[in-house]
Amino acid sequence: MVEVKNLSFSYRKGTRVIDSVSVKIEKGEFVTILGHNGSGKSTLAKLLVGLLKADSGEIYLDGRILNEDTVDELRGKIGIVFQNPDNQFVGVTVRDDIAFGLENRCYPREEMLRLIDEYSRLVNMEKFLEYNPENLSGGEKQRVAIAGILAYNPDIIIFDEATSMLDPKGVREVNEVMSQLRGKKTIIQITHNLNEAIASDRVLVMKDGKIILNDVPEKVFREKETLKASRLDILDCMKLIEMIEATQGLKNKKELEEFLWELTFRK
Amino acid sequence: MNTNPVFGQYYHADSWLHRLDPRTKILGTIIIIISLFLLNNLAVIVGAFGATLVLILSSKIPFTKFLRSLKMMTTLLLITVVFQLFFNRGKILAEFDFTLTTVNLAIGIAILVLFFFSRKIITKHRFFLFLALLVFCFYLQTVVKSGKALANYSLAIYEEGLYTSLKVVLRIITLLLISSLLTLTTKPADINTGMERLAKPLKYIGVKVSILSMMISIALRFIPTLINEAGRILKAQASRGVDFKEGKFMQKVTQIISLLVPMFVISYRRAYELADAMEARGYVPDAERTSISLLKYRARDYLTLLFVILLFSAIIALKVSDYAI
Amino acid sequence: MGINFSEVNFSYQKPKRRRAVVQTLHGINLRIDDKGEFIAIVGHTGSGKSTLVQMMNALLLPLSGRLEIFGTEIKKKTVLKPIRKRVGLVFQFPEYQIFEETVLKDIAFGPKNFGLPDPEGRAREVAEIMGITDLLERSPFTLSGGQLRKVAICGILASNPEILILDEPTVGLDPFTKSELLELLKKLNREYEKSIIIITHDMDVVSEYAQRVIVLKEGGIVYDGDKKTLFKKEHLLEEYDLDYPETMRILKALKERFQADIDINQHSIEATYQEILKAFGEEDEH
Repeated sequence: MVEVKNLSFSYRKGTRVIDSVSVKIEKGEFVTILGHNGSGKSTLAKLLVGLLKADSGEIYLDGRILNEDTVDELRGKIGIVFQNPDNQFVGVTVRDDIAFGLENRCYPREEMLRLIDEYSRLVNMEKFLEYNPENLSGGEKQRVAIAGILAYNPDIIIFDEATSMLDPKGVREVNEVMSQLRGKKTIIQITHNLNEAIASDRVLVMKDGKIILNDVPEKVFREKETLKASRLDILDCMKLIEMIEATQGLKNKKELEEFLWELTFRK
Repeated sequence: MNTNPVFGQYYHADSWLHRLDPRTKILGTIIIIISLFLLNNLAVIVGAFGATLVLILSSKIPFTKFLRSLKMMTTLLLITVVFQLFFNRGKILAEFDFTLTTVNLAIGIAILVLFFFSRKIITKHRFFLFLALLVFCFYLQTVVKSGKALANYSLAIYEEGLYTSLKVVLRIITLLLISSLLTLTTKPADINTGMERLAKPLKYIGVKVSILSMMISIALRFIPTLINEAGRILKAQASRGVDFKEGKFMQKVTQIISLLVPMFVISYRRAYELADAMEARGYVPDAERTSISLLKYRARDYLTLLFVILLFSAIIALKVSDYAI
Repeated sequence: MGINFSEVNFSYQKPKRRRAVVQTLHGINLRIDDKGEFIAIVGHTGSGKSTLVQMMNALLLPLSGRLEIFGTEIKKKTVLKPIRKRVGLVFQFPEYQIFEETVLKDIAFGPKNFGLPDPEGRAREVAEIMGITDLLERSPFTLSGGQLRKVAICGILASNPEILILDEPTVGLDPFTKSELLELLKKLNREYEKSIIIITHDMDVVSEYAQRVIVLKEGGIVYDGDKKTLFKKEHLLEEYDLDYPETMRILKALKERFQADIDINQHSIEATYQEILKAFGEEDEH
């Protein structure tokens, strides 16, 4: 469980990147944070994993407050997959990279080998253990990053635009792994793409460092004007519904609108 | 799989040298190199060279791989030979009288001019061709004596010089072969781990071995990435009309800056993001951590090391008792 | 004129005497006009897209076959600078090329290298077109990702190339910035008659902006032609590993659900809406 109370943060004095954010995410929930570049969504993620220190407010992970004394320990409960596949691959080989988080936590070697075997299988990378990162695709590197996090068994995993630099195949592969984790882990997905929010339990929309919408996707997607004002691109189905609403004298108008709405959430 | 462009030294094969623990190989190499410097008898050095060749044969690595590292040192070797040959005194083996005359000077200049203009026709091995021509020019001075003499001089090769240069060259070659043997049979990451373990005692005198080793391991990981990146920057600037073949000095400076700045900016951002990723995965600098890479001493390691140490002790003992080895 | 590939092969390996080399591109036949084309190059990672566009800029030379750019055959000794002036290539990440202290100087760098008169005047001109005149005096390192891409495009545009190639120009941008950038490319294409070539994975971008599509698969061109003809194909996914664009998927679903007479091959929201009007909006007229 993640609980954020009245959190504020600014890089320089004056401009608040995170502005009194309060939010609660339950265990096992799949939450998407939507926002355009610069809305503060990635900063929030960095605060949650303790890479940045808040100016005011508190973060509780599993009921325990995150501060300088607890951060090393609480990092075992939360993992984050970043955007750039190259800049989070630490090991010289896939095996070394998955082991990195385990080595830091002083796992014995036998245990590491078992976990590497288990989680490389989970992300379908078991055949690539000896590979160097230069010989892997973006999607493969991101899957390795996920395995490296899963191996030390955190409860919460943040995907910070983890698919935005990948090709469609890579996106599919990473999404498959994400859906496998659903229900087993608390997942916080950060994106600017409405499409990716469809499948989540709850959507938070961020603008200027504040959470301005917090609801199930079906409700959030109804707030077209707010979404547009947050520099988010509404989906084609939603655009069509808007146009049809404004048109007089259509056959099956109601049915048409309902079907398009249904289609918005069909994946 | 292992196509690391810089550290692409490692050559995969299945030999006893590949199977040895990296620590054994590092220690062994160091001891052998020290021993080589202690040896001063040509016959013994030839023996050491022969033994090295046997080691190479047993490594199952094609000899051409070793030649590459020798090639880079050719110039140094040649300079050493020339230096040692002519600047040692003692018993004269051969003496050459040179007379620089107008005729052979003209021929010499003609040859060098021809060499210069052959640039487009002969493109390979030009350095060796140049050396050969240079030697030929000097040879001319001993044979063609017609024309007006401009200068007379002589050079002598001494026995001492011949021996010393042979010893020095053989020693350098053996040294290069032995160190190539280490890098060719051991993966860079394993060398790093080996070094880290060997250097562990240094932490008692305040050296942060684990941080040093993490730095090396990250360098090993990122150098290929950075090289790829440099290639892409080069291409991106070439699209904007950067051409390294032309331009005046100031333009050249701008061209180099146009490569260095993006390189620096990208590396900086990379480092920043990597640091975040490492910290998020629980890395605390200099904290206790375990390691996935397993180094295990086996019988063969003890035996190898024992053999090397015995050899070393023998050399020391013989040295101390004034044997000419 | 323009770019002409005939039977071009390419390999990153050096040609070997006996063994065959792995060819990154093979049997490429392609004609690209220097006026008004809008081409999307699509295909999987590793299909050779980036290699192909780098050849168009003479950054890579053919292993065999004939490559002609603006009438000049590209060989080892060809003087490449005049060619690179006429075919501009914008790499995926603007960080790879931006280095000067101010945006103005950085944009002027290209024209200066090509020895064109008044580089700064040209820089101001293209900044005007791309709508970034307010950034000219700023340091490029303080800009956002979207702004940086525009600066990078200006840096190529300033040399006034007839053909402008962009390698995945919209990756990592938010939807708003993305459509802004694509609209600018459309403007360059329509108003300034530049030929635009983009590499993209985004079928919605292909659908909305491109006229012609080149599909690469395993180093060969498997489709080259009109966008609508490509999307008419039934088995796009099986044949080319490509998805249908969103507009077509919506219309297809509508067609199946309402058994309506719909031509699903539509590529903009407006066209899709018109098609829906045609199918569902006739009630009032009768």
